[in-house]
Amino acid sequence: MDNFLNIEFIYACMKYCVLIGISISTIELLYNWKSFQDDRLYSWKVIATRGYFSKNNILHKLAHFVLKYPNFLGTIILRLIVVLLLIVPGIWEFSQAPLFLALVLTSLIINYRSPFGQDGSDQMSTIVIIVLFLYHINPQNMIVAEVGIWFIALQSLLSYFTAGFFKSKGDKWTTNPTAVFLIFNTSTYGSKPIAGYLQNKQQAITFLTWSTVAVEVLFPAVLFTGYPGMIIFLGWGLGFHLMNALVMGLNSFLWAFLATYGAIIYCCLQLSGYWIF
Amino acid sequence: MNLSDIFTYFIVGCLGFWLLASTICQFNILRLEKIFRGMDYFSLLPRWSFFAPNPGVTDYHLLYRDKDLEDECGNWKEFSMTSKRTLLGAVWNPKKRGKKALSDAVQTLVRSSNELELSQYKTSICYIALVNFISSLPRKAQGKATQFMIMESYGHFPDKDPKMLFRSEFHKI
Repeated sequence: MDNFLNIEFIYACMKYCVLIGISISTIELLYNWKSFQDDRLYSWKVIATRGYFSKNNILHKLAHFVLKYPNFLGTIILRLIVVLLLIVPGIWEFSQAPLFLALVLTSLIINYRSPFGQDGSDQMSTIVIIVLFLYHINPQNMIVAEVGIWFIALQSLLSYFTAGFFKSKGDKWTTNPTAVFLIFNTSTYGSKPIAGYLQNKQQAITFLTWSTVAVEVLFPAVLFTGYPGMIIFLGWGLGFHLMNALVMGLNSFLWAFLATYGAIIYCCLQLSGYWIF
Repeated sequence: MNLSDIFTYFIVGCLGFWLLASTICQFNILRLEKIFRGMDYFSLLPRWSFFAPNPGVTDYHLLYRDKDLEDECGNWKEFSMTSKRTLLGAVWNPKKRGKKALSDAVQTLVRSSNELELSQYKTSICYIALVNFISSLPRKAQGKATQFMIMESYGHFPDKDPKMLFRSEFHKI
């Protein structure tokens, strides 16, 4: 557990978790390279009609050059190369800040280019790599390093709490607790065998539905549980994301949220130190 | 105060503001969400209300049909918006993003069609993207125009019949 009070170790955990997730999602983007063609769903000609920039200014011309097909594929390839440089030890012996800056920029470009299809894991990954970039500008700056860890932990806790808070306002999550079955019953996010298994087991459905809401709402309390209490929340979180990956196919959420757990553990241990004294 | 201190305060201030803005946008505190999101071109302000308050409990279906050169309408065909779930999908799931993109576009269009005038949603990015996408699907015979329809069904064990949510006009291919 002492390792989790070491800022360098926390950032290393964060880095490798988020990079595994980013490498998978980047290869998935490349695998779908045709979808960025002009007659496909991610057609830049269609997306550019959002028109955030005046057509005559230099920013528009630059954005158009970078984002149009096939140039945009260059951004994805660059992202993959940067991930490899960061993840394979011994290739890049210099400061990691420029590589993280490249990752941040490619994330922003991909986010801008994707008005639909992005999910919470993309947003969490972007948050984590921006903090990793800020840390690597000057790893000796302990204030930035520590604030970055708290920022990641609080964003992660905000995400669980928000999800639970809004679930507690939905009748399918509370008064008529069927949400888990109804989600598993869909072809989009569910699984026929699991929906079939749960179909007539209302007690199990109620337990799964209410426990999801309860643990998500209470998740910020992990900060005050100390060790080993934190294992209850973090173990639940890990199981939750593993199940979402297996049953719902949400593979990237696992890595994006796991990347924040080191920061949560650090903050929890820091606070428990305060309680002891 | 040296440059390093200024950098530190700047970063701390930015992260603090980002966390505050993220919190405001989750709960629409002081009704500021729309203002912040309006400026968020790069999706830096997250949406953390996963499957809440009303989870998606239906499946959307995207169907299309073509009008041939003699103005005869063909049969409706479905473009599947779901993929078979496998254990490998927990690690490698490349179809997820495309399906999610289609699902987002379809949901936004259905919502817009209930809230906006025809002229407004017909020029929306989702409508244009779906027309563009449907027009690009490979076909056995070249048609003159195409039309798409969005339907909703109620899962593996349905308790209701599927229903139509939206039907587009015909568009030249």
